[in-house]
Amino acid sequence: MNAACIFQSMKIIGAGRIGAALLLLILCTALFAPWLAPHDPYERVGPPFQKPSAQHPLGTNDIGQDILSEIIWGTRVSLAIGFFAAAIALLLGTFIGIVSGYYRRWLDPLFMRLADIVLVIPFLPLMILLAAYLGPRMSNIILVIGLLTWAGPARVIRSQVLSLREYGYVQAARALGGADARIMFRHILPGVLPVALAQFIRAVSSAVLIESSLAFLGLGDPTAKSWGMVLSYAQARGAFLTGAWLWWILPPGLLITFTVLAFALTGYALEEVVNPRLRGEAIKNVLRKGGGQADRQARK
Amino acid sequence: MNGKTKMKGKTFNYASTGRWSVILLAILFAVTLLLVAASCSPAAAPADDQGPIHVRLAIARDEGSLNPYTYVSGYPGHNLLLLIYDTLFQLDEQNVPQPWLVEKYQPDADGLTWSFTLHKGVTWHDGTPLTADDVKFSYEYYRKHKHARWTKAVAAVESIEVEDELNFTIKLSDPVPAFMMNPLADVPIIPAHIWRDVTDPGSFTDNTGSGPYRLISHEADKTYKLEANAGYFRGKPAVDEIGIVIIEDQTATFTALRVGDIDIAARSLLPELVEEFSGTTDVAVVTGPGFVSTLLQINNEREPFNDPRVRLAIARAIDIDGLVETVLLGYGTAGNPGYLHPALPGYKTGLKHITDPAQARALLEETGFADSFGDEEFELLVRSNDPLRVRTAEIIAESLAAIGMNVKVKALDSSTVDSLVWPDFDVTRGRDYDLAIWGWSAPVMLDPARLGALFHSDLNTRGSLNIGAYAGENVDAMVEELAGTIDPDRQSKLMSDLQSAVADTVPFVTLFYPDGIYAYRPGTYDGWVYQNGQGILNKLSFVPVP
Amino acid sequence: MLQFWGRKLMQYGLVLLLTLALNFSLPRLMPGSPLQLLAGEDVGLLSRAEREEIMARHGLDQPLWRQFTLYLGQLAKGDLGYSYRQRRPVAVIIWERLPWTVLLTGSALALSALAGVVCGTLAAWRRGRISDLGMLSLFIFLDSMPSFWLGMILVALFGSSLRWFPVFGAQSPFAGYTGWAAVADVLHHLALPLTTLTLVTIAGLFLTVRYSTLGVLGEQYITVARAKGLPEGRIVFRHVLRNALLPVITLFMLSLGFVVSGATVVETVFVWPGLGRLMFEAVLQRDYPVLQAAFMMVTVCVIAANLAADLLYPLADPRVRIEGRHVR
Repeated sequence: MNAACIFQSMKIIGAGRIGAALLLLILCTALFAPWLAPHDPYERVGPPFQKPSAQHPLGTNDIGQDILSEIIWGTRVSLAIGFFAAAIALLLGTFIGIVSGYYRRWLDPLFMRLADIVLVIPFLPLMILLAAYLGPRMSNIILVIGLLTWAGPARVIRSQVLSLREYGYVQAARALGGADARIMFRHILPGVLPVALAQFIRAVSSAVLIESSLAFLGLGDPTAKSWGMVLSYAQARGAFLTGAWLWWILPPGLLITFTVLAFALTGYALEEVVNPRLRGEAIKNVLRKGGGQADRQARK
Repeated sequence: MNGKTKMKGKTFNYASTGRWSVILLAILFAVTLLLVAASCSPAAAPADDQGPIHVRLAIARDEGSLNPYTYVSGYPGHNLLLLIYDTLFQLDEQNVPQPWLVEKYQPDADGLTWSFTLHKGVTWHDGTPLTADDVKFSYEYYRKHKHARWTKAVAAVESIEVEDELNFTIKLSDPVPAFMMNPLADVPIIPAHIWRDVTDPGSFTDNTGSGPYRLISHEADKTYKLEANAGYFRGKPAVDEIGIVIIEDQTATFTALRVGDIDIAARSLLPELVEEFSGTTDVAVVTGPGFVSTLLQINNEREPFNDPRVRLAIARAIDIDGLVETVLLGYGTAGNPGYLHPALPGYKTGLKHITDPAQARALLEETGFADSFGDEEFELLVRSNDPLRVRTAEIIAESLAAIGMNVKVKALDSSTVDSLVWPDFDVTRGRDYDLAIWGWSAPVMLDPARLGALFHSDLNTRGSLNIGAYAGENVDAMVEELAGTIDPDRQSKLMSDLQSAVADTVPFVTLFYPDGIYAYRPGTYDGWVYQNGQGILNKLSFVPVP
Repeated sequence: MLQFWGRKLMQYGLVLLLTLALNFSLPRLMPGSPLQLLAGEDVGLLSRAEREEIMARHGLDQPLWRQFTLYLGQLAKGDLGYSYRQRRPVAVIIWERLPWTVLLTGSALALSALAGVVCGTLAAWRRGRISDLGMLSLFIFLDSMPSFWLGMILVALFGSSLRWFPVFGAQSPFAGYTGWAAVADVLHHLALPLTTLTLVTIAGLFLTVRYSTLGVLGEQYITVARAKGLPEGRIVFRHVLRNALLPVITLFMLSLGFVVSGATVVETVFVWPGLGRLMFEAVLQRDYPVLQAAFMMVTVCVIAANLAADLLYPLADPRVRIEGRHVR
C-alpha cells in the first residue's frame, strides 16, 4: 500500500466521521420519535392543507395530519425498511458468499451464476413485477428489496472468504479434520463479519432510496408512513402545483438524501478501515458483473 | 535540469488544463441547455376570437382508434367516441334524452313499437347519406358482434323495419324503461357501407362517423387530431380543431395546463388545486355534481356482515359529511343511503344518512357479535393507486374502531382488488373480502336497468353487478317490475321504494359522489357545457341542443 | 479458449431461458385478469359464455404450460403478439419506444461517462485537494438523491416557474416541426430529463474512474516513468488514462442493458415515451404480451452486453485473463 492510498484512506475516513455523525443524528431521531414529534402522525390534528404555522411547522397534509410529525416518525419507518431489507440481503449474501467461497468446486459456480442472474436482470422491471405480485405491504417491499440486492454483497464476501481460506489457522483447522460447518462458522464467519458490516451499511442506504422510488411509482404501502410515502402523497395531492412543495416535498426529500449520504459515507469509510484492498475487490467485482449498476438502476 | 523545469511547467499546465476542462464542461453544458431553451419556446395559444379555434385536450391514456369497437374507457373514451359518431338521441344538460339523429318519434301505447323519422340531409364523413338502413345495420351488427356495452343495450330490440330512407320502426321484445337513454342515446350508429363486410371488428380501425368531428390523425400513445365536420347537420361545431394529447401523469397534466401547453384536461382537477387554479386569470375552473359513486362495499355473504343490523351499524358509525369535508374538501355530495345521487330526477328526497356511533354500538350489542369483535380483524381493501380512496379507507377504519370493530386497511393494486371483490368480473365466481372501497361509473347511476343489477339477488341473471351478493326482501320484485315499467309515475314510485329498501338494509354504504372539477383556459375556448353528473366533455360543449 | 467461450454461451443461454420463464409466469400468477382490457369498461354486463369466448380468443383459457409453449413457438417465428390495451402489434409499439429510450438513457450514459472520466481522472490526480474532495462530495451527494425528487424539483423550477423548458413529453404536440426545428424541439424536451438522469448516474462512473486511476497512479511503472522524468501530461495520457479507462469501458458495456430497459422513474416524471414506462404500465394493466416482449428484449440486450464484456475483457487485459482462469 502506498502513500497515496493511505492519504486517500484518511480522507475517506474523515468523510466517514461526518457520515457517522449524521447517522447518529438520524438514528436518534428514529429512536426518540415519540418525544420529538409534536403530534401523533396518524391523528388528524387540523384542517387539511394548512400552511406552516407555529403549531404545525411544516403545515398539515391532505387529511390534516402534522407533516413534521409524519416525517419524524417516517425516520423510523424508512430506517426499518432499510435495515430489514439490508438484513435479508446480507443474511443471504453472507451465507452464499461463505458457502461458495468455501466450496469452490461445486457450489461456487452455481451460486455465482445465480448472483449473475440477479445482477444481470434489469432491476426495476423485476422489482415492479415482484412488488405488484406480492402486493404493496411493507413486509413485501422489504422482502423484494432484500431478495434483489444480496448478490453484490455475496460477491464481495466471497472474495474475502477466498483470501481467508488460505490463512494458516483455517488451513490448520482443515488439516486437523474439522467439520466444514464448524470451520465456516467458527473460523471464517468472524473474519467476514467486518466486511459484511460495511456492506450492510451500504445496503441500507440503497434500500432507503429504492423504497422511495417504489413509493413514488405507487408500489409502496400507502398505509405506512415512510419518507417515500409522504413524498408520494405530496406528489399525488398536487404539492408541486402549489407552494406546498417547499414544506411538503423538500424536507422528506432532503432527509432521504442525507440519510443515504450518511450511510454511504460511513460504509465507504468502514470498507477502508476493514480492508482497504477489498474495496478494490469490490470494484473489480462490480466492474466484471455490473453489481453496483444494479442498485443504481433501481433509482432511475 | 531541462527535464525538471519542463516537468514543473507541465504540471502547472496540466493542472490548469484540468481546471479549464471542468469549467469548459460546465459552460458547454449550460450553453447547450440555454441554447436549446431559447431556440423554441412553445407558441402561445391563439387568443383572438377571429381566427379558427384550436383546443388542446389532455387525456390520460390512449383510446385505441376511437371507433365503437376499439375505444377503451367509459370516460373519456366513450365521450370522445360520441364526438365522432352520432346516436339517435342525445342527453341534454339535465340528462333528458332529446331527439338527435331522429326528427320525430312515436312509441305505441305499450312501449314495444317505436317509429322514427330521421333528420334529413345527414351524411357520413365521406359524404354518403345516413339512412334508416344504417340504423338497422348498426343495431343488428352490435347484436351479432359482441361488445360489452352495445350488445346488452340492444338485446331487447327484436326487429327493425325500414320503410324508406328516413323512416323506420323498432320492435322490442320487452318494454325497456329508459329506452331513449339506453340504447337510443348511448349506442352509436355506424355506416353500413363501411362495416358491412367486417367480421372482426376488434381489429378494424376505420373512423368514418357522422358526428361533429372527424378523426384526421392518431399517433398511438401520443396524440389524436379531430377536425370539425363543416357539413354537420346541426351546424358547424364551435371549435375548429381538437388536438388530444396523452399525458399519463397527473402532475404533468396540470403543470401543462398551467403553462398553457394544453387548454383543458379530461381528468378532474384535485380539490386542493381549485383555489390555486381559479386564482389565475388564464385558467378557469368549473365544478358540478358527478355521478361517479364511492362506496364502502360490504361482503353480504360473510359473517357477521350477513346480518343487516351489522351493516346498518357500520353505516351509522361513518361520518360521511366529515369524509366529504376532509377527503374532498367539500367538493362532493354526501351519499344518499338509497344510492341515487340527489341531482337525479329519480332521487327520493328525505332519505338522509345518519351518523350515530352510539346507536351503532347498540345495534352491535343487539346482534351479539359485539363481544367477539375484539379478537377478530376485518380487512378493508382499497386500491393503492388512488390516494383519496386510501385516505377514505383510513378514516373509515378509525370510525369503525370507535364502535369496537377492528378493521385493517389493506391497499393493493387495482387489478388485485378487482380480482378479490369481483373475480373475473363475474359475480357468480364468488368473492373474497370483508369490506372494500369501491365505486361505479356514471352510467350505473343513470340507467335504471343497470341500477337493478346492483341489487337483484339472482347473480346468474339480473344481478350481474351485485358484487356483495346482497339479497333484500322485496327488492328482487321491485327490480323486476322496474325493468318492465315504462309508466313514469309507476317508475318513480318503484325507484323511491327501492331506495328506501336499500337504505334500510344497507347492501353497501354510499359514501359520497365526488364533484366533477374541470380546469380549462377560457382564452382559447369558453363554451364548455356542464352535463349534469357527467362533466364537460360532450357534444353539447361543441354543438347546441335545439 | 474455445471451451471457455462455449461454456459461457451455454451459461448465458440458460440465464435467458430462465428469465423468459420467470417473466412469463410471474405476471400470470399475479392476481387479476386482463379481461377488462380485452372486453372494455362494461365487462360486468357480459354473460359467462361471452367472457369465455373472449379469453379463448386470446388463448388465455389454456393451461399455463400450454400457453408457454405457444408463446415460445410464436417467439421462434419472430411474432411478439398483440398488445391487449393498444390492440396493435407489440413489435410496433416497442419499435416506436426504443429510439426515445435510447436517446434519453444513451445520452445520459455518454454524458455521465464523459464527465465521470474527466472529473474522475482530475480528482485522482489532485487527490486530497479541495477540488477532489469537492467533486467527491458533490457526486456522492447527487447519488444520494431520489431521482424522481430531483426531477420534479427541476420541473417545478425550470418548467413550471421559469418556463424555460417544456413540462412533458418528447416533442411538442401538433407543432409539425421538420428538419432542424424538430431536432431542436426534441433537444428542448430532452434537456431536463437528461440533466436529471445524468446527475444521478455520474457518481458510479466518477468513483470507478477515480479509484482505478488512483490504483494505476500507485503502480510501479508510473513511479518509474516519473523517476525517468517523463513529462507529466504524457504520463497521464499514455499510462494512467489508458489503464484506468479499461474498467470504465467494461462498466459502460454493462450499462448498455440499462440503456435499453429505460429509466422508469425519470420517464414517469417527464412523461417520456420510453420503454421503462411502457413496461411499468404493462405490469399494472396485466398487458401480458407487451410485458413479455419488452422484458425479453431487455434481457437479451443485457445478456448480450454482459457476454460481450465477459468475452472482451480478458482480451483487453491479460491480467484478468489469467486470474479469470484461476478463479473459475
